[in-house]
Amino acid sequence: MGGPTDQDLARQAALGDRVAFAEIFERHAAAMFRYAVHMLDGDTHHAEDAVQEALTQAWVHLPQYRGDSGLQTWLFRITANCVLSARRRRRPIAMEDWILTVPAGPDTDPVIHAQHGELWVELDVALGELPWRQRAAWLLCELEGLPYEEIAAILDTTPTVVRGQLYRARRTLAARMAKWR
Amino acid sequence: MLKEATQSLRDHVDQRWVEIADRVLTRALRTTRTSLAVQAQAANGPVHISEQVLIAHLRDAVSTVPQSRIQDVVITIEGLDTYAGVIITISARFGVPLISVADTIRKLASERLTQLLGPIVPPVTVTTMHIHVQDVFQDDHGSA
Repeated sequence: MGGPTDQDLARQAALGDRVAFAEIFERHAAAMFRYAVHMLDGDTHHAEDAVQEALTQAWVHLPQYRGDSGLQTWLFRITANCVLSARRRRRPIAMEDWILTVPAGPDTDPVIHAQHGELWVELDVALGELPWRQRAAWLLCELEGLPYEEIAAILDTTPTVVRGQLYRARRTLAARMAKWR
Repeated sequence: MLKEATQSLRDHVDQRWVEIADRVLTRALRTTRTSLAVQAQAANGPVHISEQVLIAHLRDAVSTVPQSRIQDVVITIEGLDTYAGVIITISARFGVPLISVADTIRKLASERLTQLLGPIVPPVTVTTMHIHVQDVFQDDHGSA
């Protein structure tokens, strides 16, 4: 028999049990942070703020959580809203064009990147170019392993739409990563 | 290749998370929940105690009963801040005598409420404290 279920922990945390909330945190907060970082283009400071806000809201509103959806889905829904707010708050920073120009050279060679264990950098860049909802659906499915129904509940859409977004996201990423084969 | 990249991506972010996790948890738990105030009677006069504090203390008091798992606590307040009663919802271990479990919970909860609220009116009695057995469980973690 395993430990207490998410629902057991949510009930205890709703009644003020901080140890139970710490266990919920242990189970789910790292995934919430991963989602926030990748949805905010690798900006860990804004991601930390968004996850902080999401977890604070979770702690405050747990007494109102009735278990209609899974706890993980509920937490991700709060995180998705906080991330969206953080994205709206971010202001574009003016910069010179030359800063955005990637210099050609040995550093752009996939072999060099692979040797330095930086395969994830390429994927991170490719993810950043995906449309917002495609990126969210891909992260929740591929990075967190959530089923279509839960992703749809988090993103406030339908499983059919999620399936379509995932198809397009996978196709784009596969094409982008093809040069690494 | 995409699978390897996905795994690398996951590991990279997790390193950063390890650095900040404790701080995030501490800040979240420092936040207070919105709560009604309940009037208590101290030796030097009335004081107010948050409903959430009462709920947390009642959970703590009742959680020592091994045949039950606490599910919910609702404090009934009349007027602005007058304690009027409490409803404690539990699940009980299958096969245990429910009346006896309810009496034990009522006794523990009454003692704790009296400690927190002082000589309150109305006093904690059977009529102002309801124990509601919502479910039964068989394993160690409360699921039926």
